[in-house]
Amino acid sequence: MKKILMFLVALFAAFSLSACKKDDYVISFSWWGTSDRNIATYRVIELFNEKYPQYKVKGSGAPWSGYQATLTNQLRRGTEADIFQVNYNWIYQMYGIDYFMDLNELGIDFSKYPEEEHVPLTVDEKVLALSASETGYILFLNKKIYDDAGITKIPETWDELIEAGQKIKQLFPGKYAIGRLDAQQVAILIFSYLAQLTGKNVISEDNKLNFTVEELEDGFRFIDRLRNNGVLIPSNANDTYNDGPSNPNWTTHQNYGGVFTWNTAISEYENTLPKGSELITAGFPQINAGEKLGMYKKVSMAYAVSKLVENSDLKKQAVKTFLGFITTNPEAVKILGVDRGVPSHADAFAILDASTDPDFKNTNEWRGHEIVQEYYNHQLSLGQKLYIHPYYEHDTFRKVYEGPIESFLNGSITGKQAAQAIVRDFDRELARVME
Amino acid sequence: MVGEKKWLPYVLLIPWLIGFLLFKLYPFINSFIMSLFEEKGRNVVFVGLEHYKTLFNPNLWEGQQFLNSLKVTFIYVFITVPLILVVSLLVAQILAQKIKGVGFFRTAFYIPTLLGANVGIVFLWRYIFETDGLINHFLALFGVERVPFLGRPAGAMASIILLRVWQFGSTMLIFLNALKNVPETLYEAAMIDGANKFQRFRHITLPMITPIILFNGVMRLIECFQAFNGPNLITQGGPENSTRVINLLIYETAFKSGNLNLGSAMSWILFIIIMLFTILIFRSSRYWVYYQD
Repeated sequence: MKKILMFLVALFAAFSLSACKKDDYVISFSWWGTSDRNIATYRVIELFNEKYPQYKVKGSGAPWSGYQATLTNQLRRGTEADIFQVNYNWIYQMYGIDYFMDLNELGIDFSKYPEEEHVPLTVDEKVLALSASETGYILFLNKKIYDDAGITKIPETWDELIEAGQKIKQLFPGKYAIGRLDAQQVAILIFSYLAQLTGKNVISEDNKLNFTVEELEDGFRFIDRLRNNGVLIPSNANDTYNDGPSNPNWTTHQNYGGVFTWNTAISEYENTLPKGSELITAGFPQINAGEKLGMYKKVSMAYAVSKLVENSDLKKQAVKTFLGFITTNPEAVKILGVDRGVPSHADAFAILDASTDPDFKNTNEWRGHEIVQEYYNHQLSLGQKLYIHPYYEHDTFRKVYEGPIESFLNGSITGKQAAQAIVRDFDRELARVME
Repeated sequence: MVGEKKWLPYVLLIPWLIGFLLFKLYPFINSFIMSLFEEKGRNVVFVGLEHYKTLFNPNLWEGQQFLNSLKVTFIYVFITVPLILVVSLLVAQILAQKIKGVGFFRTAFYIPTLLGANVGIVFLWRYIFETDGLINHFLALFGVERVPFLGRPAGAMASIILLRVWQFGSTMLIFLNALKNVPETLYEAAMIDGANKFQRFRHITLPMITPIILFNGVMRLIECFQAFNGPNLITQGGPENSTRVINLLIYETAFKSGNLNLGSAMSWILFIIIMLFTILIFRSSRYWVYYQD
């Protein structure tokens, strides 16, 4: 009996040791995305596992819905993947300083990342994530609706967009130059318009709302102009589909002629249009022709590493190898293409830029990216540096401005009331989430 | 032999006991402890009842949201529960009659309960109530302008209430069983005394089934206070927070915003509210529930 017991103990110990050693070569990677991104990422993981048989990456793709909640809980319980995809603002909202590994420890060459994407992901000199791509807020149009209305010139100014709206409304009642935007989309549209007017960021450097009630009222009057002239629907109460890409007025009926969205998100809208439809990247309309103002951009998504990885040198090595592979290996970069947006890493960008088959530059993501960079650099040359504040999209805080905007869009309150409500709560609640 | 098997019931209880301790009692106690702390990353601070104070402070954002959800939940519960009871009792009363094809109708009325508020049903519901949905198409036949049911607070609330009331099957079946257990002799005696149908229902049926009304009332009250699926899937709490019931706010606070401490405090307030109402109903039952024995 004693011998059997000893044998069992020895067997258990041997298993435990071998499991420990083997585990350190196995790393997990979780992300959220559409089916295109999932398929591409799994293919890259497969390729990595083939090329680096000493390591094994286990992938876990998830839809957007629920991913954030799952990751938040995993971080608290210490069950998160070794590498996980995050949004820019999660670095702050999820207390990345406590849960994300400082990537300086991996010895990654950060010089390959544009400074404006690297800096927002750095807190107290700790690099908490690697930017996968950045994104800007621009206009995309459904070509069919504009063609049918005989509009051949892409609207470059708000007046031209309004003219297009009037024409579409007159010819095809029930169709719009854009259609429905939700409170989140209208918020950034108002703030971009106000940036064109004033050159100011939404949030000042001392973390206060940069606009007065009167300025915000201007923003709401601007939205009213769009609603009264066939650009936006008159009231969001008439169409409650909050998910733009699956809205039947966008997909089956094609009543909506365009959308303002982040350029990395355009494939979601593109994929739900009927076959044969075409989306055009239309830039960002201006107050005066020839201007290039009001462009907000931000890190779209980034790769973060669990702080638990710090405990194992072997795991660190495996993580570094995989991150290097996914961001620079020519095959991997081409497989991923622009599924996570136009890559931030200089080498990855160069690989896609040089590629002719497939021609990534012919995608809306790429064209959008080029416009974003062009406008942004132009703004910089004028001394305007618009940036998305790290707490602007905080899930609790954003309700402070999205709530009144939603009520305004539903026709429950006036622009003045919405502006007053935003000003009343903005600074206090921003200070509270930043505490 | 009999003595040897004495342990068997306890062994059979173990799986349930483990489940209860792990998945009910532990989270229950832990959520209260969590509600007394503030976690910011790995920094955990004891704050006592601070979260509870925040939730009842109308000057703070969380307070405004919570008080609004409280109001929304009360509206939802106090319209839905009586409606479910009335509708299910009425239908049960009809199905208790000896009519042709009654078996089919019983099954048909129970099907919505089986379907619940799943994604498919929610799509159907949206299709019915949307501005370009079934009801509006029907109204258009009579020249009525389209009504944005889901886009207006009252319409959105009505649609989630209707979804819940539509699932009256199990309440109805319990009532049906109760109706069948009312002794026929009571009705016969009443008929001899000249009581009409309404009088028989008012003075015999209703008193006799009051224990079941109490049971159904309490069960539906608890269920409706904990409503989540319908509001989450159909309206996502909108428009303008008009259908953001407490459970939905708890989910968003705890899991979407990652504030488990505040979410736990909300859960405890909800628990206390449910407990108070349950006690109130049970206390009041001595005045209106009739037990034959």
